[in-house]
Amino acid sequence: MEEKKNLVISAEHLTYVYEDAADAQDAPPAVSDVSFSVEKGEYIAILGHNGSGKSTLAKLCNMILTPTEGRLFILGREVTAEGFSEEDTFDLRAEIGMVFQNPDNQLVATVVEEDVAFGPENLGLPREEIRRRVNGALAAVGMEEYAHHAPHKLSGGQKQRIAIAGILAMKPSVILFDESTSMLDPLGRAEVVSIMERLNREDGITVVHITHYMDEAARASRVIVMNDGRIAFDGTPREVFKNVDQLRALGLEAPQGVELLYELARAGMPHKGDPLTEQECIDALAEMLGGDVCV
Amino acid sequence: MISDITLGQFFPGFSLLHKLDPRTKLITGILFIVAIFLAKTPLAFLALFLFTVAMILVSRISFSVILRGIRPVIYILIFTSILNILMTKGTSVPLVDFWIIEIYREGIVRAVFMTMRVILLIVGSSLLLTYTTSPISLTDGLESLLSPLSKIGIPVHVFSMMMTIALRFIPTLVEETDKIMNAQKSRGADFTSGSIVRRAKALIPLLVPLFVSAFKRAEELAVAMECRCYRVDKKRTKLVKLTFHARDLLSFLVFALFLAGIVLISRMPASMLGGGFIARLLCYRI
Repeated sequence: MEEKKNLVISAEHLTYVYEDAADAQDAPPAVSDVSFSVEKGEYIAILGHNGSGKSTLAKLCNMILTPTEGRLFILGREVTAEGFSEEDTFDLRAEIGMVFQNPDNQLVATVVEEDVAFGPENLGLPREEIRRRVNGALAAVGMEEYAHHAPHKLSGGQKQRIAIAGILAMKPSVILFDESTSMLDPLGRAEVVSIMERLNREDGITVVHITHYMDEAARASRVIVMNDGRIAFDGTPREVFKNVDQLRALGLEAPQGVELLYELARAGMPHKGDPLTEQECIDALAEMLGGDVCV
Repeated sequence: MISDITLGQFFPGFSLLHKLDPRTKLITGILFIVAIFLAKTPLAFLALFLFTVAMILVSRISFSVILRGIRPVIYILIFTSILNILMTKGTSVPLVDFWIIEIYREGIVRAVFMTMRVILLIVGSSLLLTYTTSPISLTDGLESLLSPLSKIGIPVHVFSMMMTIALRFIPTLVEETDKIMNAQKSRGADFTSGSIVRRAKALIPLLVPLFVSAFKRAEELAVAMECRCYRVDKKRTKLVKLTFHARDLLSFLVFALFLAGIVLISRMPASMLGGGFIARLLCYRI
């Protein structure tokens, strides 16, 4: 148990079968025999095509679903242990926040600041503390001036920032983003991703970001690729994205620059190293062309 | 655009009526309604009328808005007035006695009083509650006033949470209806022509996707709420606390005095006003 102290999430042979699917013969488990752990302060992206089990994994980590088999430790406490009560679940949930896909379906109140206050109110905190947290959380996502607005009048990106503020107000140590950028326009996506990065970098919040977007995943410190309920890859973005062929077989693509260089290499124009970011890819191209490239 | 509809016709503002605690407005609203029903003489109705005009002036809501609020009930008022006039049997000689129609003075008086009561009721309650109180603070006020009921097992908080969520999702669902309508219009659906039956039938394919999505939203929202540690049975705290101010106390006093005044005025004998024709008219009781 001791070595799990600085692990915020730790899964051992985790399996989950959806109940309505369990009636069917040979229903494949949504998550099957998955073992991984997340250290405090990590920034993890989970990739996978639809139905790969990545959202189920997030719901297991947030204790919305209870594992069918295997052991799961959240912040060093075994969730799957006997005697882990509902009360304990709620205690842990304050520590492990979750931001969902559809910003509309997670806002409760008709006024922005009251929505942000919803979590702390549920925790039964004193009024002054709630006020402090609401102001702090709204400032952290840059939405102070919208405190008295109605959520339905905000843009998708703004709503998602309010949803993040609502989670931040509970002062979690981990935030799970379950495809939180997938319904946003490019501007809203960029805002939300930059907030995620800042929360991870400046406040030391562990971020687990489930996404479809490779360029978002490339910015994480670690990438986990799910396929058919199992972990297909687990490593730094650089390690994962160089496997362009295998990723394609899983229905995924590497970021555009990596794809381009991969195709060039296949056509007989190899490059050095494992470029990942846009700038690295540009530099690699420049080197191949033997000069500077202006973008 | 159907998304332009405003719920409950709340007009944001900073007047004294807007600033009052919602609980004050609920209670004084009840006092006002009681006063309306205790008013028995034209003089009392005159007092009610002046008081209502004063409230309108304080709220800074335009008279045209108030008149628009009365418009929907005009036909009902006309209809019930006619019934009152025709059906009331008085003790004196009928004013009109023609064929089967008998009109007594009591009937006319009753119709006039009834009309005034309904109009004052609508104007007074919408001024105090809907026009100057946001739906959310009204919900808060109701929850706070009804909270003693939770001691005898009535889930007051659950109802107020349901109200809040309903208010939160009305605009979202209206927007969605708009979207589905446009999607169906673009594929040739016709919502605007044909008989009423035809138009009603055209709405069915609209309602099905709307309901499906509403249920999906409800489920997602429930999960999101649970993730934010929401539990029905646990004691919650509140960010905004309703507090009574001096102005609330003052309004209670004004309304209570007004109610007492109406009761007194309704019992005032005409002789106190000199006993002349106008005095007898003002103090006429039915």
